[in-house]
Amino acid sequence: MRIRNDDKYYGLAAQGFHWLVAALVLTTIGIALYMTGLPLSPDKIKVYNLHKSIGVTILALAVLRLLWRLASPAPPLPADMAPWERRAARASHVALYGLLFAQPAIGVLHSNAASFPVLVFGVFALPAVIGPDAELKQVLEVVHRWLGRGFLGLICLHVAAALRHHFVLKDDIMRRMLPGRRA
Amino acid sequence: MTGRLAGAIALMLALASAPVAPAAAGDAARWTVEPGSRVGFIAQQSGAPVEGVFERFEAEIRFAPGDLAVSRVAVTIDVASVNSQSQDRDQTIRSASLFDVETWPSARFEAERFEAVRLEPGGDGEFRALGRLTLRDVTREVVLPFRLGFQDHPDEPGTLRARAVGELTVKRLDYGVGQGLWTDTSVVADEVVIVIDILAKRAGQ
Repeated sequence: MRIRNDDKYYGLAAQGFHWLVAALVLTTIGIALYMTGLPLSPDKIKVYNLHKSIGVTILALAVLRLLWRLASPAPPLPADMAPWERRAARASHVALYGLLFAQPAIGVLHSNAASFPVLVFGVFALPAVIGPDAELKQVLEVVHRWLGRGFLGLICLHVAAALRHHFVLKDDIMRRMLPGRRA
Repeated sequence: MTGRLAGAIALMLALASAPVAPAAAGDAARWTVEPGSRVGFIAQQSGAPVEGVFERFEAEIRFAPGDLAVSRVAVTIDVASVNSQSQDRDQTIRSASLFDVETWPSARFEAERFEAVRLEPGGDGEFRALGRLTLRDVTREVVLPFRLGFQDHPDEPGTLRARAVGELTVKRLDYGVGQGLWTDTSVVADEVVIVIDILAKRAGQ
């Protein structure tokens, strides 16, 4: 397999970004669903720090991934896709990318507003972008929670669309993101 | 807490060494803490500093000019007035796991001994207050170093105002501030710096 995308398949780099980010996003959403109900304790802070560390990693990867996508464009969609399908695919992909940037950024701002440091894998703490702000913290908390749920919903839609392409439409859309496959 | 104490000490020292302080022997002078004074702390949470203040505290500062032996400072802090810019964290600080304000609402600093470390002309200088710090139900001896400066009161000409600034590092677990899960120091470090910045003026002037 090649590193770069070709006109039919995603290359190793794009596939690596996709599956690594997918694993990190699902992991950190899973942690999020578990952690919010915990009573405040050192262990809760550790779990939050893990959630934040993964989130910051996702944000960094999103930057690299977008740069790579510009350098190595995605393979074109099948010619027989309906316009509404193209629009839906485009909109959902733009939304997924947007969330990869927005959700971690809002999380960091929420931590700043809540006056809790963002420690990345125990190595370094991010400098605070904004100061403590109890009202803003409440707003960001609600936004982060609902964007997270929206993210999960969008991922389900994304997976359902891929499965539809593979099993119903029987095209290469899903296969082109799977490693080691060459038709 | 220490801040108040330090402030009190500073005031005493100031009075002792300042050009003012003409009182007769046995005539104790009181200092009144002014708005803008601050008693707070810097803790390390997840390796990053977290600052907080205690918004309510009271200080009794007495200084007998030329007679430090009868000087004393007592600072009482309302622990529930903690503000670390996070309601969740403040609630935890008040809880039984940390300060247990239901059982021990106050923290206290008292000192009766003061030492001049370095004196400057005009009564400014660096000092140490030797006293006792009580958190929860644990009292330990502490030494609070502080810097003291005097100036004419900006709003009340003719009145002397003192400012005392100091820091004291304590180990929270020495005082039981951290029970159960909170004895874990990997998230919130054992060492906490108590910071004081006290403004006070001579009472009755």
